[in-house]
Amino acid sequence: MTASALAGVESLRTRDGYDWHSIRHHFDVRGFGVNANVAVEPGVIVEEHDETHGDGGQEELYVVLSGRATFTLEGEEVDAPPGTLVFVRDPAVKRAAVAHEAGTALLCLGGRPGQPFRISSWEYSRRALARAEAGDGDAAIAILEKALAERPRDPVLSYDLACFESLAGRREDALAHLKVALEADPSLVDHARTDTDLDPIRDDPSVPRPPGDPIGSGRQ
Amino acid sequence: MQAFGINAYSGDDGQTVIAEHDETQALAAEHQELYVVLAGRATFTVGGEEIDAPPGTFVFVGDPSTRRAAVAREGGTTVLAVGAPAGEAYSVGRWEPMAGFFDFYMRRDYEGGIAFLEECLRRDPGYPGTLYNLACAESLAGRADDALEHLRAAIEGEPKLRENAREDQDFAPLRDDPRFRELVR
Repeated sequence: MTASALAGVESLRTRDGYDWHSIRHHFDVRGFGVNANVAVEPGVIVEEHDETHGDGGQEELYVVLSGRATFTLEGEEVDAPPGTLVFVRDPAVKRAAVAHEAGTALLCLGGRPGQPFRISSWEYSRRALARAEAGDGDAAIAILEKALAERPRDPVLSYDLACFESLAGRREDALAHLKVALEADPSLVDHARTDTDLDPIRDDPSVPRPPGDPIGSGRQ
Repeated sequence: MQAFGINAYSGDDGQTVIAEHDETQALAAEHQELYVVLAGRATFTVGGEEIDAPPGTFVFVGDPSTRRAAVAREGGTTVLAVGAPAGEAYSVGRWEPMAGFFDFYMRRDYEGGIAFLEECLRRDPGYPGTLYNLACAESLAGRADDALEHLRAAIEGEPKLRENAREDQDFAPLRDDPRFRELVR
């Protein structure tokens, strides 16, 4: 499809309560990242983050399409009525935004200077999470399996797939994907120690355990 | 901004806000393009199909060879245009610094436009887009010799511009000049 209003782009409710429209996925844009966040009620509309981790390194531009938001960029507040463009060049800058009214809509654009655009792993993970939270764990797993087929051994995709497989009772698949994830990105070990998604497979010795709860400490 | 291209175009009822083009034509960068109507209303024509575009409409053109254009249907229409090539790193268009030329051009201030483009050429020597527009302005200003020299240099840099020059009304003053006919043959 060539043209669409935002209402025609699939909407996924996020954990922070705003709706996320993956415009990039809708049109299969391959040249740059583009999504929209729409507030259902006043509150978080961009989670605090920087672009130094995982798929990071992106320059980001936010465009306020409607409503009103306050951005916080490295501690500095920016009032953002409709039409405001907020550009964050430095990947290390912490950025976040809060919507002041329901219906506040932000267009979020991103890409890496000097590099071809690559679809972020978190985009797949976010779509999968929305499916899982809607009760369709199989659809979540299918999204990540398809993404992993395109980029095998991607640590974030492997980790998230392991989580959904763990919750779905697919123990062996979960253990295999968790192993791939932790080998590819050892920094995920700390996250895995306390990730409750992995509790169904926590009794396996290969699954990291919480601090002070080493293997054989009694939980086995 | 270095990761993707982004600009906004504004116009009143009946004015062109996106000039007809494709992304494979001379000097184009084979971008995928996404247009967002921020205000007003526009009619897009994409691959021959007309699209009514009120505020909030997203128009995506993924195939660089697709012709696309847009005309404003209300006063104060503003269209955001985002672009980058798929599978390749984006680089800032060399055309950007010379975009100010069209302000002179629309006011028919050809001598002002010539001075502006000469300054652009000092900063980015040999860019065929600047040379071509300089030739247009010189043609319209009655400076045939300069126009032919710069058109020749533009075509040497980007042979696809020969086709543009054949139909370009800016070169009407040169149509009967055998040097021009030879250049665009």
